[in-house]
Amino acid sequence: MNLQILLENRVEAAAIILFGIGLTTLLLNRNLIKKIIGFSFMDSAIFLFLASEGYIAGHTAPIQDAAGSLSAASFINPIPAGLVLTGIVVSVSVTAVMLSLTVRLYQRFHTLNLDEIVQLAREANEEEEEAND
Amino acid sequence: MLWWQNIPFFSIILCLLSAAVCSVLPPRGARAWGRGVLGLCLAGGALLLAILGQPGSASFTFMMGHFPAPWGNEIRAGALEALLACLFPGVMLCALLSGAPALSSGRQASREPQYLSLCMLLMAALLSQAYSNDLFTCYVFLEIMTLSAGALIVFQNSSQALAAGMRYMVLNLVGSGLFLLGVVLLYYLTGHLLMENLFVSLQALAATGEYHRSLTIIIALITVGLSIKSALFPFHSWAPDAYSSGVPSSNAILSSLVSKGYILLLLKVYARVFGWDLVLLSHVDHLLLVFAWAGMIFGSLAAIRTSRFTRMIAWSSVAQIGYIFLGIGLGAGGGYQAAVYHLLVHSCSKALLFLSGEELRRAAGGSDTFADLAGAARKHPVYGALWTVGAFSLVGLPFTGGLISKLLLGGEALRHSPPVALITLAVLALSTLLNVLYFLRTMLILWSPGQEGSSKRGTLSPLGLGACGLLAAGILASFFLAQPLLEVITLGLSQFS
Amino acid sequence: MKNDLDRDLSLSLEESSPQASRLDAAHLHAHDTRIHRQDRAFSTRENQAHALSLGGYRALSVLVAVGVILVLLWGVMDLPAFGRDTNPVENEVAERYLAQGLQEGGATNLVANMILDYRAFDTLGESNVLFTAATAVLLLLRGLQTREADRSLAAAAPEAPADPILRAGARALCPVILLYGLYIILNGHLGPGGGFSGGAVMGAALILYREAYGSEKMGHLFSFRTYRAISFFALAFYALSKAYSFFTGANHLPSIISTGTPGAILSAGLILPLNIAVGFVVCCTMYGFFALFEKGEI
Repeated sequence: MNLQILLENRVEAAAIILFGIGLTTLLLNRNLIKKIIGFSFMDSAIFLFLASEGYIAGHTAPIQDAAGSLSAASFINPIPAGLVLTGIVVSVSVTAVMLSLTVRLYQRFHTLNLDEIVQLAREANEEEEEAND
Repeated sequence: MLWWQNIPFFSIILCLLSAAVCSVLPPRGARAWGRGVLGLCLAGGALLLAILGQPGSASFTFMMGHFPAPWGNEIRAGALEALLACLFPGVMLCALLSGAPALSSGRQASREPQYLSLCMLLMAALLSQAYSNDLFTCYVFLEIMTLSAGALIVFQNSSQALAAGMRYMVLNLVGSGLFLLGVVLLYYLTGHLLMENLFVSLQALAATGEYHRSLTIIIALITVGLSIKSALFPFHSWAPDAYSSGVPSSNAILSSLVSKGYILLLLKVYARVFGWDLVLLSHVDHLLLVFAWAGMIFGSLAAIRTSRFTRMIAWSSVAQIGYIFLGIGLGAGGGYQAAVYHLLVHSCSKALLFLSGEELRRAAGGSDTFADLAGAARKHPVYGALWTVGAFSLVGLPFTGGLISKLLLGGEALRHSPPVALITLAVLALSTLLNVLYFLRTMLILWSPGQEGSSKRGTLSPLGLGACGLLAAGILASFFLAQPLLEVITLGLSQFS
Repeated sequence: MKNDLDRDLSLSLEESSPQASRLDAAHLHAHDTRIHRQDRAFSTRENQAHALSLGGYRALSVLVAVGVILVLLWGVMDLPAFGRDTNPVENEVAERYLAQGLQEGGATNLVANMILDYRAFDTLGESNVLFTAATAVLLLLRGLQTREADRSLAAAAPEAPADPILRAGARALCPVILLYGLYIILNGHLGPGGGFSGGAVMGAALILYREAYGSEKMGHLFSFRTYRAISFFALAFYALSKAYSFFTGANHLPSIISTGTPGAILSAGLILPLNIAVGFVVCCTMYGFFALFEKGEI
């Protein structure tokens, strides 16, 4: 019976699976570019989830005609659509910042591996201090 | 609508507008504009506090547009919001005044307008976090906070800062993602984003027992998401680097304001969306307590182990965040009150420690190791004294606000079941002992007769000194004015429900 | 294996961007000997250490992913069913947006009504998220090549002239793309479209022009000053007009903004001007991102 619900909510289920994959990639993959890909996965999964929330079988996109003659009951829910729009802009912004940070880190350390970068930054810092002494 | 009820709206819009204005002004102009706007916000907050802080005053809502909530957006201000509207601009103003030399020197100078622009955006986001009544608005401004705070870290162009910025971004994005998923699920179950309506719908759901499982998952998602962002142990791994590798003003703003914004949001979600009973039902409070206990000990131990001055202050943040979460975990009523009280005290103390610590570091020739800092406080006795006030407050010594928050936490713990009370008191005692250890050690080093004449006395900037003095005054005031302050907090929390 | 993948990715990254390959050259020429030395030390150390830890790390990743997914799926089974009109989300809030959006907001695109009129505060925040990101990228990347060590290399690599086919194609396409972007912006309150999508399309036209004719020629049309001025005016207009609308709304004052005739191009009150402002910001920001990533300068 539970599986039947899962089958019915398959769009949500797919979104959740994508979310899990994205989250794990963002958190645990050490390659910065893959981390960013993971982040995109994660956010897109949430948008997919939102989009599925607003969907009503058989209803159309919420665009009225000029006379307002279409019935309000024939539209899908506009709120998730609006939230997705806002979310996409946020996601684009975050991606740009992450990518620019990656460019800077790559130029400085010549690697995309975050563990190595942290290690190198620490060593650079220690050397700086030795130079200070 | 009374005229002063426009203050919250105007301070948010003014900050957003100033962000655009600062980005096109020359450095000097941007600096003056930024300070002026923060001063205005502070004055507005103080006025609001004077009106809303009076016993028996009621909170009010403000429609953002022509449509009443839940259709339109709305913001809401009560006693607690007014208090925070004083705290946020005040601390940021102090950080910018005192940290100005590092911003306007050398190669950084041409980039200062952008820095101020980011500070304005951060301020707008913090204020919206305090005022907003809508969960999705909170999410949008949460992302402004995340991005602008990340940019404040990497403003310092060092390897350390870039790496710290990346780690900060990665974990904060995980936190944002979890929080957003929680909000989205919450919307699916209730069809609302406005806090009041969410509360009503969730109470109805809780009464019927419907969606119990999903609700538990949602509470966990939001709690973990915001805990990561506020650097609660064990999600703190990004924090020590992020709090210690930027320019001094960034360090102060990040550790004393940004983390508080997230905690405030969590508190609002608990108090105004779920209600404490629902949180108890999900057992997330146990999780918070365990994390808080562990953080209080672990943060202090790490602060003892580190050999670097700024990092020690950063690590002590992890312990102090533990105190605030301990308050939240102890629950509605006394626990929340203690959490908010410690939030205020910690904001002032941590900013003071970072800012006056920077002056001491400069007096010691810019080095960050304890060995080089010996005698630094003697070169700058005023800053040494100010730093000592901040340290006393975090240890919880008399005449500082830290004592009051520890007493509140301890007192609240006694009202819980014996095991919780016992562990909490033991952890509080142990953590205080550890605090004494590392702050006392640092103070002894700072005040020891160090190498004489190793570096010149720096010049004292009156603005920077005034800013640090203001923070110290805040710490002392939170002790001497504890009673009225507690009344305001209690009033504000009672307006939450 | 994973390591190889990492390598591949960084290699392909270097190939794809001229700047990256220049950096690679800097790497080879060992401009910064310290980092070079450490880099090499790493690659020998990593071969042994990573081979050991890699398996465990991957297993952990898979475990975490599966754990998160299972817990959340367990929650999904407890959610309202997909696509029903009886779900909790179909409440009075959505109903009013659909039934009265046209009268109250004036736009036939009911989603535009919702995001730019009913819930305009969110959207004001949203455009400021973009502005925050633009400022952050500017801070990170602007003037990078003069700041980082490989100044000589940057100067030594002139821009290769673009392919004639690309130039001819760009000449034909750019106006069309710009016009299409403009249409999407202006159509935002009447049908599918809006400031963000239209602005992104217009930004793409600018990027194409820059690629075909070089950043120098583009600099005459669109300099950093242009970028700053447009962003400033668009954002300031956005904040001020919304401040007016919020202020009159909350204080119940009469507002000069009218919804106009539904379906007409000049209708729906502030939605059209706001879409235009957002469009300009997004267009500039998209182009700015590209320029900063390519050369560290707009």
